[in-house]
Amino acid sequence: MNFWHAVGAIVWKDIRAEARTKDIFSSMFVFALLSVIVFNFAFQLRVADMKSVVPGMLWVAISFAGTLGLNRAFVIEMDKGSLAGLLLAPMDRAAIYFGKTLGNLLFMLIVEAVLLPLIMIFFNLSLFSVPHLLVLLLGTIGFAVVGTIFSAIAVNTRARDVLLPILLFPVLVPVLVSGANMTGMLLDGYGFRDILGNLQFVLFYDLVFAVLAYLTFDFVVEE
Amino acid sequence: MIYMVAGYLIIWLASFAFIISLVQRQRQLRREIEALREMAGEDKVTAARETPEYKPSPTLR
Amino acid sequence: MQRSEQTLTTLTVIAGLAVLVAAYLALVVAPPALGPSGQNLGPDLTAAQRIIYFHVPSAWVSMLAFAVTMVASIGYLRTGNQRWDIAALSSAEIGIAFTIAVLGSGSVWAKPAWNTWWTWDPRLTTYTIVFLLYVSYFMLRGSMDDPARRARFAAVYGIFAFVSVPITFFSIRWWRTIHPVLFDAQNFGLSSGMKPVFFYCLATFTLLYMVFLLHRMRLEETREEVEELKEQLGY
Repeated sequence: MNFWHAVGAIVWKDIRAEARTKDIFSSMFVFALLSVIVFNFAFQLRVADMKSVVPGMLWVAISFAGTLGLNRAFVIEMDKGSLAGLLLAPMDRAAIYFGKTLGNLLFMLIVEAVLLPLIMIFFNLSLFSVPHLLVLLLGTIGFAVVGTIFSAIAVNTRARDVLLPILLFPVLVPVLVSGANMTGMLLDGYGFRDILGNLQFVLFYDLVFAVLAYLTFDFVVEE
Repeated sequence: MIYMVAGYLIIWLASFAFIISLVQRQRQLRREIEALREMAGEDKVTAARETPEYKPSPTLR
Repeated sequence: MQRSEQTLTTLTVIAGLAVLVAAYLALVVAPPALGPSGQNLGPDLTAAQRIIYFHVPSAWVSMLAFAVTMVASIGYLRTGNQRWDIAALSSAEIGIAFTIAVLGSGSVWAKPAWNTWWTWDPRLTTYTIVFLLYVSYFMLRGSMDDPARRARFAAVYGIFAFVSVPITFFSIRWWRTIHPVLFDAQNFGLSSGMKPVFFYCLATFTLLYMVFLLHRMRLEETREEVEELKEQLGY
């Protein structure tokens, strides 16, 4: 089976499954929203300028929602036994990885697409510029690339859900730090040229870990 | 002065904690081996030790 | 079996003596440090500065240990030989022990040097994350029972973890150039009198690491044997 056909098939399967129940998407979104609201209360009384808190808040909300989505995606695969089915299919194992990653990426982007306008409304800020969308895209890609393979690992352990954040967040720090940094800079009025270096850095992160995941995914799913 | 002492102390303590944990685990293993020996009888243990080593399924790329 | 036991004992004794010599050199023989413009630093700071002879080599050893874990992880994935996995986990354990030593001694040095126990500069922040990475490594190992799978998963994580370290360092450093640090990590430049002591300590700690690694690996191999015995005898 052609590699990209396989990848597409997996993504489409995940989309269709999710479209039926909207389980994962709704919980991701609600969780992200709740995080933003809780942060708002947490900082409201102490921070003079809420704008300074927004970058961190945004990326934390994305992280929490993302982790939730990653967990549930693979757990469902395991519980329904469909992972075994995928492994038996005549396709490159890497296609499973890329398919899953793209699916996760898509879900996260959709959540962000709904979350972003809400944050803009709550804090009366504009986050919708093309540079910022690019920042979010590359950051989310990093999240999905590393998160997918780690969730495949975590789902096979006793601790399952709990282990994913523990494994994921230390490795994800560059994405979160760079992302929050760039969001902050764009809010402060810096331009695309100023964040270009940082942006390329996140792209580098995405590439390095995508390659690494491609090389090691086989070892994670084999029996 | 006291900072210097504290600094060195921490490094010594970390090293010793590691060494002590090694020694303790070793002692526990020894005890287990002795217990196994007693329970199984000497010849069984020797026989078991001489069987070929188990190797995990190799994953070659 | 006798020869390697002997070698290990000899090495251990040598390492132990070397460390004692290192302590003597660092505390007594090394010349007192001076400030950036050659001035006297005051009794507290001059004494505390001597921590550098043990603190930096410990940091070096911890990073070496984690690098070895990554290499051993790759080795395990490519060959499936259990010895690589034993090396990986042993090295990671030693790495964590030294990381704790570094974080503690660094903190204690920071107080007289910068008047704060902690600062979020790139090196310290990255180092804390390194600590977390390897704690996670052991949490992963701890939550898996099947030895072959555990070794494989840990190996994958070990590789990801170490690769992320330089990337993390640069990302934080980038961030810090926008938000300037309050305390600049004062680098006590090593004067010519200090260099030999420093490098001796570096070598000693490396030897110490190797001795620790060999002991730890031997312990793990014994443990594996005992597990096998238990299985074969039906316990």
